Amino acid sequence: MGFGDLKAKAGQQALNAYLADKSYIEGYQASQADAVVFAGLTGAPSKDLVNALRWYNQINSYNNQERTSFPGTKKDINSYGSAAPAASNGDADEDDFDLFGSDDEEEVEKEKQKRLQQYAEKKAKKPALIAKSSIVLDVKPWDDETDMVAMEKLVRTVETDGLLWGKGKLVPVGYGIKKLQIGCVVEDDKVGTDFLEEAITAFEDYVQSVDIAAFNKI
Amino acid sequence: MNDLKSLATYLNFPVAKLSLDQKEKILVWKEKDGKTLRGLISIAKYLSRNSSHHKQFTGESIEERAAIDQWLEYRLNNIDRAHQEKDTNAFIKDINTYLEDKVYFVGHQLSLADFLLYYGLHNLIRDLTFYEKQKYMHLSRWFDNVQHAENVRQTQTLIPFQKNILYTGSAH
Repeated sequence: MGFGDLKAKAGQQALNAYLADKSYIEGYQASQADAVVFAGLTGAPSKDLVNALRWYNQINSYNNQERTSFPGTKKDINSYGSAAPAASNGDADEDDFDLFGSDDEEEVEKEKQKRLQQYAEKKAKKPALIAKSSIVLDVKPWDDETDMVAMEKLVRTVETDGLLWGKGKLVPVGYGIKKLQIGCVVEDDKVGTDFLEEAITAFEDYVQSVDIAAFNKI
Repeated sequence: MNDLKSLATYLNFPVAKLSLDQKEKILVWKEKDGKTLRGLISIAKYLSRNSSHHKQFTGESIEERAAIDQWLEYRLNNIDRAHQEKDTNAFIKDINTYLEDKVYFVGHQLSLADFLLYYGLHNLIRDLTFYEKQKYMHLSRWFDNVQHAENVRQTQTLIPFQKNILYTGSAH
């Protein structure tokens, strides 16, 4: 637990990662948890640590007196945060010896940071590709009396982000029964075939079964 | 209608003064002395400026008040009028970027801007996939924080957000 040494870059990075999806250290309003961690910092985190900086500015907008009257009880600073980053955790309690060690660590950290940044830059330059697939579905009706037009309408009412219906046609299967063959284009990240099958078979009064007739990556 | 009802409750005004003009489909606020106000934003401003927590809620400085006005306008012009997915995608992205370094929309406290944007965005965020909620993390963080203020959320449903990073490589 804890963020490690908040005066070192590594500790602030841990804080930054922790605050990525949180507005406050604990819960949904400023509390003693924020006051304790705030006091552990010597100043504002650097600009690249957006989450930590945002939180710092929020807590910094209160004055000292307001901070001491935040709700909640004070706990040890190392009891906050997530479990993962605690490499330099113990160091705070030890003395002078660290002065030599930590320099090295900072170098390594800097190097790592630099590489990460380069990697991120490289990645950012790649064009954003959205993986899409074209799917053809076979929808089989309950019996020869099923209203195929109504069924197609129902199928098209299935709407979600990343789903686009295409052409549909009726294909005879035999004995006067037809099945509906309908195409659609989906974004792979957002829509799965399971979802489509489930959503369509939900129209129980019309649909007996749904099969995937074709599945092509675009 | 829901948002103004909640706002009136939040600011301790009687909800009964609010009604819907059936003919023009516009919200109306009627005071006892016969004075009436029409429309979402005018009623919202009237209520918040008349309330006891006035200062924080409508902005403490002139700049904050101006910024709040701007966001109310944003809700009317961009959010309430978005019908197509590409419209919503555009402003979701904008708002997400805007909130990157902010806990609340304006200043360091909950304001009328947060309140009305929370209500304006509720349905939209409810329909986001978990993947999108993670992608627009700053928006999600803000929303999650606001919805946990019980007196703001009131009867709105609590929208679930993931507690951990679910998807890796979301940068593609």
